[in-house]
This record gives sequence, structure tokens and C-alpha cells, in this order.
Amino acid sequence: MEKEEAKNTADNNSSTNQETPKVEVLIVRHKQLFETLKNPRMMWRVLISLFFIIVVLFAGLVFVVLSIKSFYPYNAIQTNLYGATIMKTEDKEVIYWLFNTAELWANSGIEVHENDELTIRASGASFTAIHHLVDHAERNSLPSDKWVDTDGQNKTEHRDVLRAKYRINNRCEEGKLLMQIVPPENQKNSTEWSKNNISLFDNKQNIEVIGKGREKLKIKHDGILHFAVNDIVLTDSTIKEMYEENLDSIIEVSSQHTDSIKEKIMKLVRNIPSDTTHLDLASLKKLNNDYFATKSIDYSQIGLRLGKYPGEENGYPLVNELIYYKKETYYDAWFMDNVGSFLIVIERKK
Amino acid sequence: MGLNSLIDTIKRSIITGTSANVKITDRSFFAELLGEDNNPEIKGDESLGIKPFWKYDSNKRFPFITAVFRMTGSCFMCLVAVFYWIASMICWIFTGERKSKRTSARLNAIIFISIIIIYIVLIVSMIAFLINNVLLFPPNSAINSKGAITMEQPCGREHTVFLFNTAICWANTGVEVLTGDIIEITASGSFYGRVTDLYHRNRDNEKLDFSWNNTAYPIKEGDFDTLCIYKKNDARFGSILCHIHSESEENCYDSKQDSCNHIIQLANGKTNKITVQSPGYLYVTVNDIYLTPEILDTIKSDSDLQKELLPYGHDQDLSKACSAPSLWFNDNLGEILLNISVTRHVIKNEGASISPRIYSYLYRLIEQEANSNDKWIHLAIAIGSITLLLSADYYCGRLIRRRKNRPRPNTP
Repeated sequence: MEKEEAKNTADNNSSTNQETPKVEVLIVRHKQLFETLKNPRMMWRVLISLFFIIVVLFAGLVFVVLSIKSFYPYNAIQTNLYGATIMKTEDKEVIYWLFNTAELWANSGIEVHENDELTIRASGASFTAIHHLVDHAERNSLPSDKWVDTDGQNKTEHRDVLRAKYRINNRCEEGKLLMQIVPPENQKNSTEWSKNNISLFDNKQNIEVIGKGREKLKIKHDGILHFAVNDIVLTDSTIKEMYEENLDSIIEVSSQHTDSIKEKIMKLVRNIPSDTTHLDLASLKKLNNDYFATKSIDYSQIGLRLGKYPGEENGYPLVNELIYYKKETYYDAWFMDNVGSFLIVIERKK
Repeated sequence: MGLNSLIDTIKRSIITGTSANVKITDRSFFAELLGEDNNPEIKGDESLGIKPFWKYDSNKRFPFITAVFRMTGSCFMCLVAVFYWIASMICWIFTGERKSKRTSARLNAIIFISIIIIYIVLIVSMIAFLINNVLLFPPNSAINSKGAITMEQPCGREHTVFLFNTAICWANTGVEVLTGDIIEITASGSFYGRVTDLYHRNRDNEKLDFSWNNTAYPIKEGDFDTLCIYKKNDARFGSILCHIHSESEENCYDSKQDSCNHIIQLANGKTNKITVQSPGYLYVTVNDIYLTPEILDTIKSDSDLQKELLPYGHDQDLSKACSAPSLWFNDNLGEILLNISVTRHVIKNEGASISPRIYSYLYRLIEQEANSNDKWIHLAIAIGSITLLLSADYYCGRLIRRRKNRPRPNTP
């Protein structure tokens, strides 16, 4: 029994030992990564995908930076087609541009918008008549005009006092810096002036006086900035008015007090075409010879003291420089003899 | 649920459910990595997906594009295969065992971790570049020996301002450029080509023979355009010319000569873009008449030309001009303010920056496109092209699939 029990026990023990199952649980951390590393194709796909993600991330960050720079520019410099340089910071822009005073309503290409606030200053100097400069330099004499800055000069000679009312701004000194905001469709794009485009610049309401400088100038409408110095633009209407005033002075001095003569002359002047083939100066010369051909009066010192018609010795004072300018549509004749440049600097607050 | 609680859960469920011996082996990632190496399940070229090199599978939605991407991937994997081959050769040299290392988890782990580290460095350097070299780029400026002010901009750009007097023939701006640099020039100001005109014509109330040359407006054709330094068909008297050459080289005075055919005429009222062909300094002048002996002979032999060019007489004095050929530059009156922007082809590494130059080039490329006036057109073309390509690929694939699936007629 004991043997049997022992045997049974032994049998039981041996069978228990044989039948005891073994469970082994193997835990491998990051199995997925491990499997990926064992599969090189999968691994390289992951790496290439990450690379493309980084490229897209770079492009995205660049666009974010560009957006930030557009809202908060720092040390950004641009130029426009007309040579103006624009330096941008977060709160303002500084623009500079070189303006030659011989040009009437020079196009700066600087765009402004309604409610922009500008501070404008300029440096440089200008002389109003190069031929006077040369003549006085030859004689070693001081010219009556001076080299002036953007503030212009107050000329007190009788002729200049009479001419003052014909300037672009008749309340300002001659040579003062002026500015006009012109709609983009009307901006100046050539050195030549025609009757149509000169009239577009004739709106006195648009003209701002800059002079020595303007601070916090509020812009009233969108447009492009154009600049000129204050002088006389020889439009047909200005020529007519100047001619008439000068004629009045001549008539008064020569004691030809008849309105009929004046009317005859003005009719001829009004009819002067802007066409060289049909110019008939003969009638004007005849009238001049009939009424004003006296050597005792120096008409060049009377009235507006107009100059002679180029190449025509006879016929003065009726045939004078204004007739020539009208015939040639030489609207900016009195700007062409200016010398000097201004460096205009504009600060625009954002 | 943490890993430890998972182990406990497994233990409890197994132990309570069975009288079996339970052995839990928790192997770390590195332990597993250091253990079994190769993956015997994947063999040969299948491991890298190189073959088949070209596979057009019409069952794919975009079979051709998929095949092209696959081929591109295979090309890249060929390079990777070379690397693995080198690794297995090194292993053979040191251990004598010749075994493919493609499926070696250890080697791949090293590659993977190295590349991830490189990517992290790339991201950090990218962010550092965008902040330091772009957003917060310091406004450095310098003055060169010719008085021009140069203001540095991010990513290899410089902006220079130079006041040029038109009476100077070939003024040196002091701007040094190298091959491949791109120069953009705009100008403001005006000049007049004959100061005697300004005196005589204005004194006599006469209209000037020609207008002040303003850099903003196009110049009209004139009678003596081809007598000037720049003589090509589009030559204009009074235009601004540029020439790039070293300081030791002579200036050019006749664009028709072979050595002078790199003279460039700038267009008024536009941004002029020039790609530098050879290194040197940027010289500028106005296109005026340089009195070479040939030009003098031309003028002397043509009386009309003499009247036009010498309206105040003194033609007998022309003979003296041989010794002073730039004589007719001296009577130019006026200054031009030049804005010269240079985009450097080779970007200098700024100071201690770790950012590679590639970032600067890529940034410039993206910025150029973003600021371009035609960006929307380019985008529309790109999207349109991609859409067309995908559509064509899809329909071709569909056609091929239909032909394949068409039932074949029974053969007798």
C-alpha cells in the first residue's frame, strides 16, 4: 500500500511534473518601432516623409515671416520705377526722391492714399534763370535772383510784383516748392505737355504748398505725388491775361487810349494758333508799326517787361515772347531755365 | 494604463486561471535591439523596394504618377543600397562574415536616430535663421570709397544710393559685383545735355532744342543717337549706361567694339535688371558723344550734323577735341540719384550663424515669388497643370483597365 501509495504518489508526482504547463509572456517595448527598423523600406519611407514635412514646415514658416514683415516691416527698403526709395519700419515709411527744379510737375511715382499723414522736407538749392546767372557771372556782378532753398524768394521788383498773380500759387514766393496729388490715370508720363494734360494739372484746390517743410499733412484723396517750384505756367489763358495786362501798360504809356486798338490786337492774339504753318505775325507787326513804333519809349521796361519774339527784331512790343510761347505751346518755358535739384524726403506715418 | 499595471493584470489573469508556471519577460527596446539582428522574413531587393524599378499598375487611381514616384523612390533606394553594401563590406572585413546589413535593426537604428538628430538640428537652425537673419536682421549700413551708401538687407541683398553727376564720363559707383549677382537700378533726377543751350535759348526766349532728360520718362529718338557711346539700334541720347569691369581695365567708349559689347543701356521709368557676367565695379555714364577720331571725322564730313551739334559755331575748335574726347560731357548739367539693389549670388556667412546658406537662397526664392506681380498667375498655372496631369493619368488608367477587363471573344 505504501508502495502503491508511494508508487501512486510517485506516479502522481511524475504525472503532475509532466503535465504542468509553462506560460511565458514576452513583453517587448516599442515593438512597432523595432519592426520598422527591421524593415528598411518602411524606415526610409518614414524618414523621407519626415524630410518633406520639414520642407513644408520651412515654407510655412517663411510665409509666416513674410506676413509678419508685411505688417511689421523692419529695415525693409524698396524702390519705385521713378527712383524713389522707400524705407519701411513698423510705424512709418521714409521716402526720398531727387527732384530737378527745371521740371514742371515732376512725377515722383510716390502713391498716397486718403487720410495718409505726411511730413515733407527737402534739401538743395535752385536758381531761377541760368542765363541771368551766367550774365552776372561774366560781369562779376551779383544777380538780382538768388540761389534759394525750397522756401523760394520774395521778389520785390515791380515786374515780379506784377507777374506774381500769374504764378501757380499767387500768394507764395517764387521758387517755393509745391506739391500736387494727381489721380493715377492722369499722372505725368512724358516730358512733353499738351493742352489736354496741362489742364489736368491746373486745379488749384489740389495744390499743396510745401516750402521749407510741411508736418502732418493730411492727404485728401488717393493719387501720385507731383512736384514743381512756384513759377508761371504759360497756358493759353495765362498768356492771354498777361498779354492783355502788358498791352494795357503799353497803351497807357504810349497814350494810345483807344479800346478799339486793344480789341483789334487781342483778337489777333486770341487767334494765334498752335501751328507754325498758319502763323500770321504780319498783322500784329503792322499794328505795332502803326501805333507803337517809337524809339523814345523803351517798352522792354514797361508793364510785365516781356522779352522779344525769338528771331523777330521788328514788331516788339506787340510781337513778344508770349506770342512765341503760345505758338509753340511752350507751357513750361519759364521752368526750363531753372537750375538745381531738391532731395525731397517724406515721412509717412502708418 | 501603464505597462506595470498591464503586467500585473496579465499575471493575475493567468495565475488565477491556471496552475501553470508563468514567466514574464519584459525586454527593453535596446535589449531587443542588441539581440536578434536580421529579419529573415524580408530578403534581397524587396527589403528596399528597388525592384521592380518601373511598374505601371493600371489598378491604381493615378497609375503613371504612381509609377513615376515609385521609380524616383527606387532611384533613391539605389543610393541607399550602396550605403548598405559598404556597411556589409566593412562588417566582412572586420568579422569575416558576409551578411546583408539591410535588415539589421542595429544599423538601421543608428541611421534612424542620426537622421532624426539631423532633422532636429535642421528645424532649430531654420527657426534661428528666420528669427536672426530675416526678422531681426540688423540695419547695417556702410559708405564705400566713392561716397555711396550701402544698406544691407537680409539674405544677401544690398541697397546702395549714389549721386551721379552727368558731367562725369564713366563714374565709378564703388559697387563691387561678382558673376551671377543680380543688379536692379532705378534713378531719379534730370539733366540737360548742353549748358550753352540753357544760356542762349533761354536768354533769347527760344524753345530748347531738346527737353531735359528725365530718368522717369522714355526718351524720344534723336538724330545723333548712333554717335553716342552706346550705338545699337535702340540707342538713345541721354540714356543712362552701365558697364561692369575691374578698376584696372579701361573704360569703353564704343559699344560696337567687341570688348565693349557688355555696355548696357538702362530704360527710363523702369526697374532695370542686370545679371552680372563678369566680376568688377559698376560704372555709370549718360549716353553722350565721346569725341573719338572716327566720330570727329563723321561730324566734320556732315554739314547738317555740324549745324545741329555746333549751333553756336566754333566748329574750327573741334580739332582740339582730339586731346579731350570727353569734352561734350563737361557741358552736361544735372545730377541723377541712383538706387542700386544687388542680390548676391553667393551669400556671405554672417558671423557665428549656424544657418546654412541654402536657407537664404530658399527664402529669397519664396520671397521673390510672393512679391511677384504674377504670383497668382503662376499659382493658377501650377494648379491647372497638376489637375490636367492627374485627370489625364486617371482617364488613361481607366481606359487601360477597361480594355483589360473587356471579355475576350471565344476562340473556336
